[in-house]
Amino acid sequence: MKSQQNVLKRRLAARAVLAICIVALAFLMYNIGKEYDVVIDNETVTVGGTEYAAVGYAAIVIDGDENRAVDIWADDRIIRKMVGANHRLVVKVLNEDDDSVVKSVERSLKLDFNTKALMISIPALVSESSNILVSNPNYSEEIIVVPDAPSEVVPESLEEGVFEVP
Amino acid sequence: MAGKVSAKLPIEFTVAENIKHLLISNSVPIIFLGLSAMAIPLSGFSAGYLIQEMLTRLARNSFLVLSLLVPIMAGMGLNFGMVLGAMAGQIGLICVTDWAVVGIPGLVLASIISMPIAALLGFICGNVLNRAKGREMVTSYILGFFINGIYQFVVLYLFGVRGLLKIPFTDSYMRVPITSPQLVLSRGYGIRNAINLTGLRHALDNAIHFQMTLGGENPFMISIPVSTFLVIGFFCLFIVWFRRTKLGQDMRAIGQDMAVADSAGIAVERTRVIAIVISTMLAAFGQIIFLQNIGTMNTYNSHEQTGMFSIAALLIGGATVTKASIGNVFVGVILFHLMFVVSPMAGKELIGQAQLGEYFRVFVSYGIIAVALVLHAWKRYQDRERSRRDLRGEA
Repeated sequence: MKSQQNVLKRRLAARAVLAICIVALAFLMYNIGKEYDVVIDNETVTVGGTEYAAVGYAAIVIDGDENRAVDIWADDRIIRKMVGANHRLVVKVLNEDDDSVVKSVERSLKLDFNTKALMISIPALVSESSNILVSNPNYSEEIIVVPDAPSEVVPESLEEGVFEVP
Repeated sequence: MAGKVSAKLPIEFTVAENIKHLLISNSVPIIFLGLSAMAIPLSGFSAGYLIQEMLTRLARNSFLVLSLLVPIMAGMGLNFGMVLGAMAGQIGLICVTDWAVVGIPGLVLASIISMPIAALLGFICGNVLNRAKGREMVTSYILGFFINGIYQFVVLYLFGVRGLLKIPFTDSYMRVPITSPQLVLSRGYGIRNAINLTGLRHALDNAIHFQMTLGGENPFMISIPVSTFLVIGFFCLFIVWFRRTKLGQDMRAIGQDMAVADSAGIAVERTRVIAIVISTMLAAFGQIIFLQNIGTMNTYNSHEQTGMFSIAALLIGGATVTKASIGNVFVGVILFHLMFVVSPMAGKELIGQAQLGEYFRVFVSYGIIAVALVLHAWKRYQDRERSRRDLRGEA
């Protein structure tokens, strides 16, 4: 009887550990795989009372991938998709005439849930300011809902199956 | 002297009888092989194109068809309730797409989310099937329709930014918060009919893939999704291992004779429920693999034909209602999808209408299940006669 109880307890403990491992795996997958839309801005900006002028011409390398480096001009704003929370940004200020590197600044970046409400300021980053994140003026938490919108692309008859080409 | 025991000589069947038995046992794959042999030249497709299509479809569909083996092992017939697992997989994909989790981590997360949903649906299905012993197939078929209705209600009215149904005595609305505008209809609730799985498209296929050039005079390139085949191979090993475990042996015993298994002390009803739960969860994973290959999800339709096509493929591979092997899965997927690919063009060459191919596909899917059930009954009669002759010996 006692051995049977021990077996049951051990079984319960093993299953609890397995469940905890699966939940932990889920959180890990979320952190590793979450894709963020990061706005990179190159406009003149004031951060902490200091004004940083827009950079004329720069190249941005994300996570060392030189093949996918993106060029950015003054007053440009681009969006880049980044997967995962931790990234490394290298901004190379280039000479507009001969594309030679004038200055190179590297910064590590940690993305989180607030990323969509913020944008990275290239002028602040190049000037090695401690704070390179500024608020995104185009971001709004409000989700526009049209209550009376007709149901779109929902099949009229849900009874008829559409034979999908597998 | 005590009664002599005379040795029973096994009856020897003639070559003709053995060939007849072999042809009857493999009649369905033979018929499909013949049909394919006629249709392929008519379709005009090149060998390279057909090989690539078959590799892609093997990678896409094998996992789903393999998930049918466990209930057959447990004597529960063809699990039409695998559509419940497909729905659970789709819910996992909706959540992952809303959270913008991409790549392999997205697929793993979708699988983890679908597991408890599939387990719950499989538990419900298993318990219902226990109350319909001997009629599992039709019961699971109808149960699939019922759960489909619940799924569509949940996805169409409870998923979204704002809910439709108010929680009594509160100001809140019942909803599962899905906020991505790509997913939610503009009215605020309900998921769109077609969802683009951009971040997950070919995530598993492209993890490890291999390209090679075949052919001498007219070379063609084929791409092999090695990672997907590795997952399928791992699943095949799991099935082989599972058959040798106590639980697997219990299922086989139940599949042979429920009364004898019950007398032997096997918890018949519990084991049957476990078989359906396992099958449903595997179907959820299979649907995720299927949809990552397709790249687009039809929220309300993708799962509907899953059960029918998977079962048709397994039966075409030579499986029966009571017996199925891993070989039947791969043979069936190749033959079934070969017909899928060549029949529209073959129909166009013969009749002048490619639509004939579409009708033929549907006819084949339903028809092969009907043929398999009839052949199953007939074969059981033939096997009984054969073993009766064997026991009687020579007259």
